[in-house]
Amino acid sequence: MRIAIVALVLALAQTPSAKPERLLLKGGRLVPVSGAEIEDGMILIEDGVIRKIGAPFEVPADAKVIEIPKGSWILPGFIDAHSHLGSAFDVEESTESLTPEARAVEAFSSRHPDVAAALGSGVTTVGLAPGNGNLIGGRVGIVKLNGARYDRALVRVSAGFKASLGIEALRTDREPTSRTGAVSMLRERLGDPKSELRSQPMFVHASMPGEIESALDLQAAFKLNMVLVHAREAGDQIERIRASKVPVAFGPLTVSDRKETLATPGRLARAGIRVAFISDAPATPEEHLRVTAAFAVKYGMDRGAALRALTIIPAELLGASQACGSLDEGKAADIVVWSGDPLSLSSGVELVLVDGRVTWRRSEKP
Amino acid sequence: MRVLALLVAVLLQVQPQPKITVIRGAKVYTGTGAPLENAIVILSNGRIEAVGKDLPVPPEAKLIEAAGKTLIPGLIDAASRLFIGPGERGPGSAEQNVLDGLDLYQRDYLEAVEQGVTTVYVGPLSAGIVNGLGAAIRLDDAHTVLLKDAALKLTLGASGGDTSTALQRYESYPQLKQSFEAARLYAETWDKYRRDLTEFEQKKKEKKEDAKEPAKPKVEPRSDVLARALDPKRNLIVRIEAHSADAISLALRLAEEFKLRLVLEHATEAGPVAAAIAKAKVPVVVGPVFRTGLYSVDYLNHSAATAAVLVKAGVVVAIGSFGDERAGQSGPGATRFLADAAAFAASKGLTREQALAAITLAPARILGIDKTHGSIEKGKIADLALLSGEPFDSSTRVERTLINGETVYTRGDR
Repeated sequence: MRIAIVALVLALAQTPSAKPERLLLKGGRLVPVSGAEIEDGMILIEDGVIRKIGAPFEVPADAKVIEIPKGSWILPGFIDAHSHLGSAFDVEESTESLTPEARAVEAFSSRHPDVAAALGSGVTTVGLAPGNGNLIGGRVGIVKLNGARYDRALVRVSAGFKASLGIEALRTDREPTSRTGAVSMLRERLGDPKSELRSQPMFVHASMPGEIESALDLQAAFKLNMVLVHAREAGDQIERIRASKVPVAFGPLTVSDRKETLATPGRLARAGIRVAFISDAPATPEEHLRVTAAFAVKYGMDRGAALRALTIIPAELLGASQACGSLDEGKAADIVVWSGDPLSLSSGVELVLVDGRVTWRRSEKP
Repeated sequence: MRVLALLVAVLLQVQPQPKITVIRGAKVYTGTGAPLENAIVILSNGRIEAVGKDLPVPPEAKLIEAAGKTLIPGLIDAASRLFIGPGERGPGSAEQNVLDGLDLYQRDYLEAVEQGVTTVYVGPLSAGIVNGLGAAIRLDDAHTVLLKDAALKLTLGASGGDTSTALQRYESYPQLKQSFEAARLYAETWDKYRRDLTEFEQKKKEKKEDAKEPAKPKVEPRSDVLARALDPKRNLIVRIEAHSADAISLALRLAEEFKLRLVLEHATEAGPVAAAIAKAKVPVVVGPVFRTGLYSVDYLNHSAATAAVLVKAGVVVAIGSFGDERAGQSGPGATRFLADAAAFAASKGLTREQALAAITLAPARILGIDKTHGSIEKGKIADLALLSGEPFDSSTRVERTLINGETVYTRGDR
């Protein structure tokens, strides 16, 4: 018995909490997003958290060192502000149009093939949203792409509500059947000062000009903490969006898009509007998040704005910027090593760390 | 004699001076070896006259200063949807040419020219099994047709929607076989007729009693096109759209049996059969590289790495933009993003040189125009793209596109 207790005590002494697990990334071009880029820098990770980042510093002897090849770029893991990854077509209750308590994360399967495919995409955090078939679809949650089972991938069940002003929310077999009705129903709900809908950010599906106008009307009337989702036709309403201070979760961009749409994220960002990119998976896979950013840059978006739209801004929109979205001391070590500039589509992911653990590594076989 | 002298004088006057353009100082990706730094490229009458370092610049030449810039061959999209109207689908028939259905007044091609694309192959969309003939078109203002009957397009086991493909394969393979067998008989009938006719004319000349004129067989345009694909002298290229590994295997079998000059399209699930494709020396037009909205079962195992897998196996690979409606990429816009598709394929294992070849020399070879297109070499047509920097870098823009030695786009002009 006494031996067993001694063994247990020894075992406890070995746990990470007693002795921090230290990992050092050495070399490469560090792009923290929050600050200046650092050539040949270092990142020290302790128990999954970034402890120190900067020019070469003295390293604890017990740190495991990962040498980063020259020419590599190191960035925070990308964050997808709006996705239905691993839960396709399973994220709305269609018999009712107001289902605020439904949680999109419940439909997430960590064993879905798209989730496995997303591990090497460079995206490490995903905002899982209900679909756009309901006026109020439910809760937007957050998962990390750490390759772990669902309960260990889950970060938050509710980072906000998802509402939809899209045509998919209008049906003939239940209310609302028109946008008039949709806006009226939302006004009624939001008019209640005790409404839970006002307690958290509201992600509003609004892509066409009329949908965007209705969303901004509601925002102005009820002072909502709103995020416009998709906003693909926002080009004509940039001034109003800017004045409303509403951020935009934009995308995805594809090869079919008109030049005007391709140029819209750049114009939004130049106007000072906060822009985050979205994959809207499975409409596009997670690896397409970067493609959307690259297309936006090609059609005039500033590089820095595009990188922020992949990292810190989606983190802010999901209320997670304390924990991720940039390479800063104290934030989770969600780090992706790229073979070069990630906005050059020819660059690929070399290594992915989530909470300081290597979750994906490029194999020699393509 | 005096008349002759006058004629010579007139001819000399009429003979225009060769139009010479010189691109000076660019890094040139010739497509035939290591890039040349700070090179000189001389264009004369629409052709590449010389490529090299320290070449003398002819005094009458129009000079394009290109120091710090990069010159690449004009991009060739081996599977474009440019000029195809919205909602357009087959089903074609073998003898129908896509050219007859194209809307050449569409302006989308200008955006492709802005991205350095100079030539496209446009094929009939897949609906049914035998889809018709595709054509290669140059993206100059006149839309010059480079090849009218560039390839016969067939479809093997593609779902065309969201149903199972297995039944389609069971149906389409024997149907294609029967079509080619019928075409073979048709060709034999005509061959026999031509032999009999020669014999008859000979006998008639010799005034022989038993001279009997053979009956002329019926002309069947559909079989005639298929027969051209079977005739090694006429050598019509056959493109087969095949996605799943077993559909690809069936396509290879068909090509072997009928000695077809086969080009595979898509080859979405090429991984397990890459070695077989390489062994059969069959080139592939891979794509679409961007997976957007690929709900169709054809794209179940889609991967942006397919091009790299095939190149590593030794297959000649072109990347086509496709812009396939079933891939959520309706319309002609995809050709604009040809270089981006190649870049994305490079992130999955192609080298940058291989990625560039997949949108220049490889499609030229697959179309059979590599004697005149696809690389920057003496004697080739001067279809070129001048870039602000290295190909595939995020900050690189196309500065100028030349077709036939003429500048058709300059950045900032539109």
